[in-house]
Amino acid sequence: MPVKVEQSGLIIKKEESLLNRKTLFKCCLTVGILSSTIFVGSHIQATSNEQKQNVVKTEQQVKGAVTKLENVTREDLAPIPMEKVDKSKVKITNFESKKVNHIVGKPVVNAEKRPGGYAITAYYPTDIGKGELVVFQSVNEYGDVDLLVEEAKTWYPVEKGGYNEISIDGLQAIVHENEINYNTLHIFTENEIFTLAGQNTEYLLEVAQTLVKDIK
Amino acid sequence: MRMKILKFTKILLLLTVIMSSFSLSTVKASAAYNIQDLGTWAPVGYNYTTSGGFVKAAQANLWSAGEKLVVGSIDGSFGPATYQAVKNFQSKNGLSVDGNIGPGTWGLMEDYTIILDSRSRKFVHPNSPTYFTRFAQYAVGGGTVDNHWDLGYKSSGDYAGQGGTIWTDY
Repeated sequence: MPVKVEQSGLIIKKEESLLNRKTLFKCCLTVGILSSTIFVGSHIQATSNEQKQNVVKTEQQVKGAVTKLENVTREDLAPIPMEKVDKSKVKITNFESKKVNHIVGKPVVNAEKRPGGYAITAYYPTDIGKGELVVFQSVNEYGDVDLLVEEAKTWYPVEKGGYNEISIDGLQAIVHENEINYNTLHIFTENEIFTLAGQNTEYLLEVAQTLVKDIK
Repeated sequence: MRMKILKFTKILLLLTVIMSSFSLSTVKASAAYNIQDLGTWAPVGYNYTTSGGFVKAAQANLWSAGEKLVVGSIDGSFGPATYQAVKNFQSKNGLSVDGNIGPGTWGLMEDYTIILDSRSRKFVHPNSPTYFTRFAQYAVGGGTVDNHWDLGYKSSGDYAGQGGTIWTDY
């Protein structure tokens, strides 16, 4: 009997040992799989973020290489009083006096510094929806239309709705339309960039026709 | 034998912890925000970022979207007032209302953010006749770029005395 007990005890011990080994093996396997999954998953996410960052970097490199953004300080873009702006160079504040459709009042106008000039923004009240028409004029710091157009194209990647390249009375322009129909139209000249923003692209094109007459 | 397996398991566990933390830190370092796309910005809300530059930029945008009285001060702290203002903004702009500024809400703000030129953008929303938010990048020396927000008055173009860093690129 004692032998049996011993044998039985041995058998039990063996089974326990086997069970423990199996459990430990399973543990190792689970930990191994978990660690691989976490590592691979994180790596995929990191790679995806890296790719995303690379896209951003590429855009920034293209932009940064030409615009020399690194040289722009807060003072270069500071607001300035309109009184200090040479009005003869401002081409965006007289739409109301020209009886442009849908403009129902005088614009609110403000100015900021830019390297080599000023950036002027005019907010026109309109009777289109509840929106206002934003008209903006700034310096083409490249002094070259094609370079600025190429940069402007990077502002509207396909995932943000892309852009359409058009010509308005011989001037290069691009139009960007978004999901909520709050659209942007840029017109480029050698010395300036003009931006119109508001609802309804047809209306922006109509205003652009008037603006181009002033530009030329 | 059992001891060896136990030792092996311990080493494996240790390796798992090290690899996980390494992988997570890699993801954090790879996070990319783009000044030209608010949809890439850090989510703001009780379940996300609740303080700092992104919260201030979000609060400034809410001011510029007509929610100034609800937001209160632009203090960079996401509390009940900002939560309510976000819900108002989402409701008024046809978004699902959850009080968090995730990619969808940032994305809609992006739709109202005009690219003006190579250097600046403006968040201009028709619900505020008073304010706009400007986003711009400034050099702060040593190749470091400050991604900045400023709150401005539509009536004068002057800044409302409020602005700050959203994040810094090195």
